[in-house]
Amino acid sequence: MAEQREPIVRAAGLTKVFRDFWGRPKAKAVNDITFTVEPGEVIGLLGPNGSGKSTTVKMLLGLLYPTGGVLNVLGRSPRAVETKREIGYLPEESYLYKYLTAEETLDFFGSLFNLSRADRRNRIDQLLDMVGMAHARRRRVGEFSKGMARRIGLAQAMINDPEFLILDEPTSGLDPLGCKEVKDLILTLKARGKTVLITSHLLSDIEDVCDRVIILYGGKIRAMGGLGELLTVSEENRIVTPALPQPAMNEVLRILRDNLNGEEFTVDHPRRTLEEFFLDVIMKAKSDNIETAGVSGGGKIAEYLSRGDEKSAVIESLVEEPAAPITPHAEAPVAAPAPESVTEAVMEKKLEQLTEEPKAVEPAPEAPREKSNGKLKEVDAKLNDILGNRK
Amino acid sequence: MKSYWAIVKLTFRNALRSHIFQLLLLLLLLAVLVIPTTVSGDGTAGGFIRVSLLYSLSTVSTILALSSVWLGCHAMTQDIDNYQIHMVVTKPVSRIRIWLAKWTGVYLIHLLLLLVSSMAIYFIILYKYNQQGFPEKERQKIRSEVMVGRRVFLPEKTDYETISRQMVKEKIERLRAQGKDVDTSPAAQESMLKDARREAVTRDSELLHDQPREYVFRNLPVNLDKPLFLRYRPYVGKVASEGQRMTRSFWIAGVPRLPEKKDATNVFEQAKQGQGIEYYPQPLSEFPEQVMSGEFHEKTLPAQWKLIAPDQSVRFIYVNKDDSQEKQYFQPTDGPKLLVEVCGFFENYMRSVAVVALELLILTGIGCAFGGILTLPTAIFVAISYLLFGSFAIYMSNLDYVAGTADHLGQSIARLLLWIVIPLQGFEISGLVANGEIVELKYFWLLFKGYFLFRALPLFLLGMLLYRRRELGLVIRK
Repeated sequence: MAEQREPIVRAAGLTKVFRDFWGRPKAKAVNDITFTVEPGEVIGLLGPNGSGKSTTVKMLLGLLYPTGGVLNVLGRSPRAVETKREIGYLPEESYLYKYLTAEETLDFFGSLFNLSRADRRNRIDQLLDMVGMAHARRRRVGEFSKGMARRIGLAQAMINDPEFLILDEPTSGLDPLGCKEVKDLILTLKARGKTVLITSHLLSDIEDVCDRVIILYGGKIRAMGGLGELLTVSEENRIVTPALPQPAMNEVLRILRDNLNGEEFTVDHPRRTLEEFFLDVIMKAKSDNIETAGVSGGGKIAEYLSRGDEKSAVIESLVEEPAAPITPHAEAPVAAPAPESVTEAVMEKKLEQLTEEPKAVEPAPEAPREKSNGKLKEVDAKLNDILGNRK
Repeated sequence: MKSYWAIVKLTFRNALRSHIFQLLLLLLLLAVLVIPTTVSGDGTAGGFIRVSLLYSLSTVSTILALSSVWLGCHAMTQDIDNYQIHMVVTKPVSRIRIWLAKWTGVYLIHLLLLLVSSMAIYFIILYKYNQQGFPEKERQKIRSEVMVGRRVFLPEKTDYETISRQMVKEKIERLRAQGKDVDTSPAAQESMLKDARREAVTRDSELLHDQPREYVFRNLPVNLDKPLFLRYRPYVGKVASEGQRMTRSFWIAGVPRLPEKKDATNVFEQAKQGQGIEYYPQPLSEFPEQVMSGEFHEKTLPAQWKLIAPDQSVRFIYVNKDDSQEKQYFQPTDGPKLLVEVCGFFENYMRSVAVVALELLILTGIGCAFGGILTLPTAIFVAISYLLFGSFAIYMSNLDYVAGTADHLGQSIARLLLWIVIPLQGFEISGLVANGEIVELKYFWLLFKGYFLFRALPLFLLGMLLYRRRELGLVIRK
């Protein structure tokens, strides 16, 4: 039986009231929220502007003090120095010292963790490689574009190999390639059992990497749960197959018409997302060795971040794969067999499932989903290609 | 400690990027290079050294004092205002450590600048002094009077309070004897006392023609094997820098001698043994000397004269021998003073540098204390106000005499304020070094204890505590 671990964050009745100069209540930014963040999960904190996301994050970091309720991070007060030893934080904007070079910046933040000189040097090399900034290590941060500074910000957040990573808009200012790399990194960290809390306005990013989300509005939690249970429309089905010959297609359509009793359905060819297409183009350009003054060669996960993790090797191989599409609900991949090895029996079974009553299809629970075979997912994608998306 | 020194280093680098600091640095450079190379003094070696030291050291300490307050506030507020502090306080570094590291960083840069500037001034002055063709006699004089560290002894203080009360009493008796009405209301008494005190001070500084005035110096080391220096500055007619001329002065030293030892034939003689020091007059010059009024003059008294009595006292008599029989004056602050060589010039110079270094330590701390809890403009305003209150408070509380309710109230407030504020006048020691007067270690300790331990340190601890409790996430960038 798995050992019951303490939650990384435990907030109970957490409240934050901002007051004016005279101590009169001005705004209730966070209003009696209760949630936990479990070890090893990637959790998204969502909400429109002014919903209380940043206030919650600032309280987790000890930058703001709760007005009411209980807040524990890693079993301690968020203000305790010991707590901060295991936290990595990437703020919404990179509040870096502009006159320091990329290397000096990481060295400074490494020193704040009392890392030895050798450790700092080693980690700086790996992190700069990872965020694709090794070529700009001696350039001042002030000269960097927003995306480049963001990458340095991300690197500094991981200099201590944190147990709990708080990323405020991690993909803000990054190009799609950078976004992909960040998401891959988050998945790597998750595979290593690290806990990540992300706030972002880019819902697709959250969807790609998070296990659970908390949606805030007006300082209160409006929705909370696993993405599977929140997003799955159990009343509908979608089947994707390789392109079918016309007779097979006619047969499928006939089955659908017979079973849907006049209800509308759609059959078309799926489209690639712009992100997938863009990544494909860039990967091709990279393979042609076209020079760039910006970010280059990133994506290789720092060794000390993936050390001792069997899954990470697979992730790296996936990361290095050109134009690998990022699937929604992406999880820590496990060893995936090649698509060619899928048997026709499996495909037939899938087609049969399509004819079943929609009620019979249950949303996949979180834990089994994580364990699902990567191979099957690729088969799902193929089926999608064949059958198109059903509305 | 790695985190501590990382912040110190960062603060150091950050300081160099502040434009106001760069401006002050430029001024400092000008002060160090221009003042000693352009100052000529009054043409004498003594004048040159005195003026160069006075101007250079005062300017350098003033610029560094301003810079340390500014940079102390800036180092604390800048990080908070632009949110960089979020990146630091979310790391495992306590706020107290951040505060101390920033203080250290700002202080170290000023200490470094102070050492470099003071060394530059020292060597430039020595170089200029050696380059100029001063006669050997004058050089010798400057070596014994200016480029030295001498302990200062002041004559016994006159009790103005008792004298003025006695004068008022006599005046009232005189008026009553004349059959006149005397207003004995407190206000009238106060007014009379004020007038009497002013008269007593004037009389004390007045030197009438041909009227000898005795000065007694106490607590001198009995077996001194070094010469004594008698320093004085007479004014003629009035105490003013203008209208001074040549005048004449005549000094007589009292050479102590114990009564000849007689056989104690009875109990009275026995009781007299070892008592009753007699003084024999020893004129310091054959004739009254001609001196320029309004300027300092020194007389060297060789050790072999044995002027120090067994009770550690030395006595002198001064006689005004002005040709026009005009009154002469000694300002109470001028003495006359008796000086004894204690250490060399370099040691004394470094002692003065140490006092300035202590001043900078306090000022940077004040800047950090206010900067940690306020915005930059407010922190600067509060820090400067605090220091100004200190200067006014010491001035008010040092006033020898005040009259009227408002004055008394002001002085009481000033004395209360002095429990918490720090007057910077105490750190102004360039005048001492320029006059070859020693910066006593005891004085340094008094400054350290009185101003650093009892006033500055509690303020710093309060600043640290408030900084530790501050919700840094509340700061909103405008």
